[in-house]
Amino acid sequence: MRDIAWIVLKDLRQQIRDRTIFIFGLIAPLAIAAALSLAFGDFFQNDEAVTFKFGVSNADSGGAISEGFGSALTALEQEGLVDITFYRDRTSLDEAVEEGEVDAGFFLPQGFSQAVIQGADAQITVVANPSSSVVTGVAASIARQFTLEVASASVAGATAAILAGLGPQQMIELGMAASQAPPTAQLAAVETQVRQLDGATYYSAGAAIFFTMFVVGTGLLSLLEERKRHTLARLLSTPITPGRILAAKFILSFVVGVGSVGLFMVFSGLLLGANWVDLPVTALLVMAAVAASAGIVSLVAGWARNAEQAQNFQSVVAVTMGILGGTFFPIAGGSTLLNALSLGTPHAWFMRGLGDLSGGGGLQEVTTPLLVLGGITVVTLTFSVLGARRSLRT
Amino acid sequence: MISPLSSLSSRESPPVLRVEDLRKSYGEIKAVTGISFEIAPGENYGLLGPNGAGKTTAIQMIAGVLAADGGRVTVCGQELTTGTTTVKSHIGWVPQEIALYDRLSARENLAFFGRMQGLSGKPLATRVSEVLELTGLVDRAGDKTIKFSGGMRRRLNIGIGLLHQPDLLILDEPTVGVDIQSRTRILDQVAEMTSLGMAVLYTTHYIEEVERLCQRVGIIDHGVLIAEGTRAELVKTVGERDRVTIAADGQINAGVGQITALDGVHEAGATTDGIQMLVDDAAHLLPRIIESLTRSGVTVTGVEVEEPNLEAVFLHLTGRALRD
Ligand SMILES: Nc1ncnc2c1ncn2[C@@H]1O[C@H](COP(=O)(O)OP(=O)(O)OP(=O)(O)O)[C@@H](O)[C@H]1O
Ligand SMILES: [Mg+2]
Repeated sequence: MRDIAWIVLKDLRQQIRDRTIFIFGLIAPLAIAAALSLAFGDFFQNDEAVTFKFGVSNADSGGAISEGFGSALTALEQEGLVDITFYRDRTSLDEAVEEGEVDAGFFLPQGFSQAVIQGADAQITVVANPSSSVVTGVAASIARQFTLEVASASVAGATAAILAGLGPQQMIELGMAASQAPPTAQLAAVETQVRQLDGATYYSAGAAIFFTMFVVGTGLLSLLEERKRHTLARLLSTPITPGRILAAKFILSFVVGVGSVGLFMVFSGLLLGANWVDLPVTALLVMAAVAASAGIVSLVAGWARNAEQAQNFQSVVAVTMGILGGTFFPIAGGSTLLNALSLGTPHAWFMRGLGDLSGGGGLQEVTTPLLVLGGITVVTLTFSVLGARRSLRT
Repeated sequence: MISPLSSLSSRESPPVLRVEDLRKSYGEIKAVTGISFEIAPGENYGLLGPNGAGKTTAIQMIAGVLAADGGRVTVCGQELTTGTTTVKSHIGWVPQEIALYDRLSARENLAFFGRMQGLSGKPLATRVSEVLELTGLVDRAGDKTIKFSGGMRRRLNIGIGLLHQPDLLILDEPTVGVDIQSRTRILDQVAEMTSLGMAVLYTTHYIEEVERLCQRVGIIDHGVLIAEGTRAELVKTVGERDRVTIAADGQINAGVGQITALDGVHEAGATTDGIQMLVDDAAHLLPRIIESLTRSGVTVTGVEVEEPNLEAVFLHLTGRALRD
């Protein structure tokens, strides 16, 4: 263990001397928080109280299931999350959406309840304005979740119809068969994430986890720098094993990553008004997310051929996972594929964990995200040690 | 203390290093094709070969930083591969390239690698001071190595290899890019290590270094160990003859015919600007050679006599000069 500690100290000393640690550990988190606050500060301040406005038109009046949908929405309204307005028919609902009276609408066709009960093709149509994709996502996920929850076996599908912005004739019908939809739990996760984090916290959390991937690179990618400068070969001529060298790099990345993300969260709290609740559990989530990100980057470090390749690859991975993981915009309401892919990123689980936590409940609310993040760490580290070993054999 | 090339005294004790049928290819390139040799304690073994001969490849496998395709390396009785750990502290490997942390000082570099070799506390501090002394870097010990000259880096590069007083010191062309003074100093250090009982594996393409330093020499070419032995043994393979090179104009071919007939002259042949031959005793025969050349219409413009050395051995074995 001591040899690992000496490598960590050696790397730390180098990072201090070439100032990497100040840039990534201090200046970058401050700069990103400041930039976010300049870009969105006012918006978030006004945004706090904003709720989604949904319209509902129920052509299946009196049906057991469709009335249930109405009351589910009314329950959300009572929580202060949405405003619900009921419309007489589909035409007036479409008009309301188009004129911006409501952000999105739900249409339940005649015979909806009957169809659900008989297990026939029952659909809730989501009418949305394409200029507000976030709301569309929320609406679609509410509709899907409802159909899944009500009768996951008998409901054949729900359809989200998205107005293409060119008029109702050119509506695009997106068939979403229930069989293709991800399991209820996952949808719930995506939805709660959107529902529960306020804007400032949501974007700060996204920026934090996105930025993590780059911070952890500073420690791990030095492995390739060492290879280039022949010090790695020299290290390997001593009794230390490749796995221990990688462990040292991982530890330093983890420590710097946690420190720097922590600082960013403090700055974003101060500058943007991001609201971090339950600090001990949030800290656990941060650690798990940093570890998982470091695991992914160590995979890059272990398998890349040289430092340049690793750096480029790290950026590609960071941006791709950032998008898939919903750090820039919520992915709720995206395709089933997108939802599934997002679950492979530490980003999505970190966001989900924070979302779950914001509803109160503490540690047991976030056990799944913590376990998944831990799993990602273990798997990626295992493969990167294999990679580090292999790359010594040529 | 510099020990001259001499036959070996300590061959009886078990070898520090045993290399058996070591092999490595890079795709199509067969870098090392089945080399075997041994080094005894306190012995200085020179691996001599031209660029691309496979010296570095062989040495990296011996140091356990490159996986071999086949064969076996045994150090102090224990087998060594890239996966082994403890045995590695018996080896001090000085890579051909400079392998230093340039944002750390000379002292920090030494201390770090010393710790990786398992040294700590007082013994580590003592060794670091000794090596700084040995490499002449005491005055610059606290400077970051990024500020060092090439020669200073080379010296530190070597110093790290011998810090933990390994049983086997492996040096891969340690004197490349070093001025005469530093070079002499490095060679003296290596000789001193050997006299203290450390075994040394020394690669170079400088013949003088090998002649000065090594008790035994392996000649490597195209990945094959083509000859091995003490200097005296190797020289015998070319016959104990002097190599005479004559710069000349005129009837070269006629001249070659004439001198071939002389007793004691062997393998005479034309070169691009003269004639080359092996002579049993140049000091004695040279006047007659020149006379007979002049008579056959050759104008002699210069004469060079080389007593048999490893260069001649190499030339004899490969048909090429070492520094082609
Ligand atoms: N990493 C590598 N990939 C592909 N080929 C290599 C590699 N390293 C060495 N070679 C090839 O293997 C052969 C032996 O190279 P090596 O470096 O062992 O020679 P050397 O005797 O040390 O030469 P030098 O005196 O120039 O240092 C050469 O043909 C070289 O091109
Ligand atoms: Mg070499």
